[in-house]
Amino acid sequence: MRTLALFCAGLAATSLAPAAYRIENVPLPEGLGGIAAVGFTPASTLVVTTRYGEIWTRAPDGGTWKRFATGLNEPLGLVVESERVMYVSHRPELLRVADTDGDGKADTFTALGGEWGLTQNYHEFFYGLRRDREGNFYGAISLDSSGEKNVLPQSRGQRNTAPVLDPSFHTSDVPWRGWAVKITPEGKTEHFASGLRQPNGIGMSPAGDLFATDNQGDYKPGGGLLHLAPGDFHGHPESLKWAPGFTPGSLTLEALWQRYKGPAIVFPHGAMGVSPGEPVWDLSAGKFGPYSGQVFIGDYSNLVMRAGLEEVAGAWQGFVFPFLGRTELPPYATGERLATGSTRAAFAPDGSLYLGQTAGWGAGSDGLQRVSWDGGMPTDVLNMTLTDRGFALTFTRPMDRALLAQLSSYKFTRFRFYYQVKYGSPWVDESAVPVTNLQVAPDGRSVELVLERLDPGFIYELSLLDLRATDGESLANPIGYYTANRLRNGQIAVGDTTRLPLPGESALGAKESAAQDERSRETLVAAGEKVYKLFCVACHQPDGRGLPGGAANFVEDKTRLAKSDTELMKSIVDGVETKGMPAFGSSLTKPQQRAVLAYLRATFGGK
Amino acid sequence: MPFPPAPGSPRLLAFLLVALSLSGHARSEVQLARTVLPDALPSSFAVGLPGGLSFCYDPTRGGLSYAWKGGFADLSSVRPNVGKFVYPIKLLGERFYRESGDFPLRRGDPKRVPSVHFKGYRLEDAAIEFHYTVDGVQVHERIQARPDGTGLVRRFRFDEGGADARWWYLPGTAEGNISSPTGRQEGGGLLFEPGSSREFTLEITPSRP
Repeated sequence: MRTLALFCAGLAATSLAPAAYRIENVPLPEGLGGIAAVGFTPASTLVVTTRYGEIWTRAPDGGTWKRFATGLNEPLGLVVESERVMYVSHRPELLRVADTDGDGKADTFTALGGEWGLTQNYHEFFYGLRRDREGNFYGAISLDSSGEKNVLPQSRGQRNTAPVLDPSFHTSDVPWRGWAVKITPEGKTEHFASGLRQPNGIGMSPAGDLFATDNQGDYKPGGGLLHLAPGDFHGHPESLKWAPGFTPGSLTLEALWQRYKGPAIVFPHGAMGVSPGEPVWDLSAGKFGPYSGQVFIGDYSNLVMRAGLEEVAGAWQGFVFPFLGRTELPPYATGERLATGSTRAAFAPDGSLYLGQTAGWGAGSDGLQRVSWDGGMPTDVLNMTLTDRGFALTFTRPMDRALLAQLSSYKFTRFRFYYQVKYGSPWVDESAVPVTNLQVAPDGRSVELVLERLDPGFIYELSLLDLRATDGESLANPIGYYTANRLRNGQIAVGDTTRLPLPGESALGAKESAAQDERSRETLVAAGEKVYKLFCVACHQPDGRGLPGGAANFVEDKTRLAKSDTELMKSIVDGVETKGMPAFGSSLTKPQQRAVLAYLRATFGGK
Repeated sequence: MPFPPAPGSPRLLAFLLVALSLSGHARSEVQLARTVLPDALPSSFAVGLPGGLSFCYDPTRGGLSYAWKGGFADLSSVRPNVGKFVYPIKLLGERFYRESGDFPLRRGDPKRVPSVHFKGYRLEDAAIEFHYTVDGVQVHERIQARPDGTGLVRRFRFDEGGADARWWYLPGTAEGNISSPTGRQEGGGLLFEPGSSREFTLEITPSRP
């Protein structure tokens, strides 16, 4: 609430900004509603699917709409190959939909994959769809909702309603619900990442990295943009009942917390929407304004977010700011008001952004909107990246250098989340973080900020309500968030943040909490030190510098610990044959493996 | 959002048009809905053929599960935004045929439930053809109305490997009539001997005309 009030105050302070973006309503024919996916053919024909099971096309000249196919079951995923061939994922399977006789209507529907369970549960969506350069398709299977009370006995796949941990509102009652899947061109389905809840948007970066948005909820402290990779666990334990070798009763919340791969970018609930949709990358090379390469995410509330990703020590993380929405048009937008329910998005070949809206899920409206850039330049934070001691900011326009040089112009607050069965998480360990030093670039378009404290595992809220451009204009979006999963030296958070406050105990003060986290970290690191001294010290040496010409030198070669946890854990478990590193997978328990990794990070990770 | 749309809403006309088109009147082409049907596994097919015959095709259980005559179906219970409770669609007609049990098509051994994989479907003006494999053999099952409109004609075609074996069709406790010009009644179903032809035909009709 406080953030929203500040945000609105920021809007009220701006009045003279030039227009930059125009929002238009795209006329739809009668009977077309509930946009479920948006795409374009290479010839610029607009294609949409609907939650009513249809595929529609509109000619590039903006003319006639035609119904291409009917009869599908909530087709939320779409990859358009041509005017006559499209790939659609719906509840039961992935289909290649083709118009083989050229009459403008699909006639052949080829099933490419559908290895997941189904019941009649209203919340059993299949989200997607993306295709990589090799032709593999990617999507995600949602969990069931306990809101469905009309449980019919029939199911595709064996039903298992036993909870994995404490019972949650969202469940995985039939196989593979809560997993991300890869479907090869030959139709082979691989379930490669678990822990998903309602990943209502799959996106692929220009380099081919796969991302999904997921919603805040049970076992989901915050919504956000997840990086999906093989072997990931993204927090919700229900999906794990279908993992090979799963043993009921074998998991604990604390153990899962150690495996939990949080969002690359957290979207704090409320401040950054409530239910994020499909992430799309601006690859328009400037046709859509200054944000080339950044990610746009529509939210079910009245909001479109703008995010920037960077890979830090092997992990993806970054910032998020509002782009469009709220209750009023931002000062740089003209035309129609952004509609709610904008969870589907696609960039058109002309560089405009199409937003598909669906009613339902409690709110929203049916519709389709087009956002185009008119050449104006909003006053905005263009980019926010992590540095060794704080953050670097760049702006879309030259800023007032005097204000830019004032420490008081920058207000940081940081917080983090608990991991729990309950819905979401309070903001805990919340505290202000002063900026202690800064350096302004000569052109007034960027600044580097040094923070008093910079720790991994926190979300940093940045507020820039006092900054102005050289012409006096305020920032259009003065409040944003950076998720610092890890620092540039590879340091990660290893403290236990799963504990809830006791009755009568308010959220921990920052100082006490930090002390507690140190104890928790010390416990893990101390366990890791024992492992290190038993199994590792002979080659890597007590000081971590390694035997000359042999084991890794963690102190002088910073690339060693800049690798991702997955890579380092693989080295520990499987060894590195070419370097003479033994495999410890069978001699160390998993907690020991995690502990020694924590010890390496804490001791040699750049501190 | 209320459903059906409120009187005066621009969505009401669209809703009424959709509802009318799904009720079976003036059906000129195959109508299709993947959805929740009575007595069927989720995401089965509701298929309406021109002429007023409709059927449920359940690719997970065993294909054509039952057929009805009259209108098509009332889909309002499964439309988006009806709420958090999904109820099966209402069939707008009277069932005249029903099968049950495991997958009815068997290759070689009538007692062994085959491995079946659904591969998709193809729409024609007045027919639909389902594609699947039975123990690795590709099967194309085309379903259309009989010329006199009294029942359904199901033609099964096989790719390589389908002609050199006996094929059985075992519809379980079927209600209605099932017959074939080339198969013979045996073991509670129909048996098709191996031969040069890679296809056979079944017809299903009501017990009472």
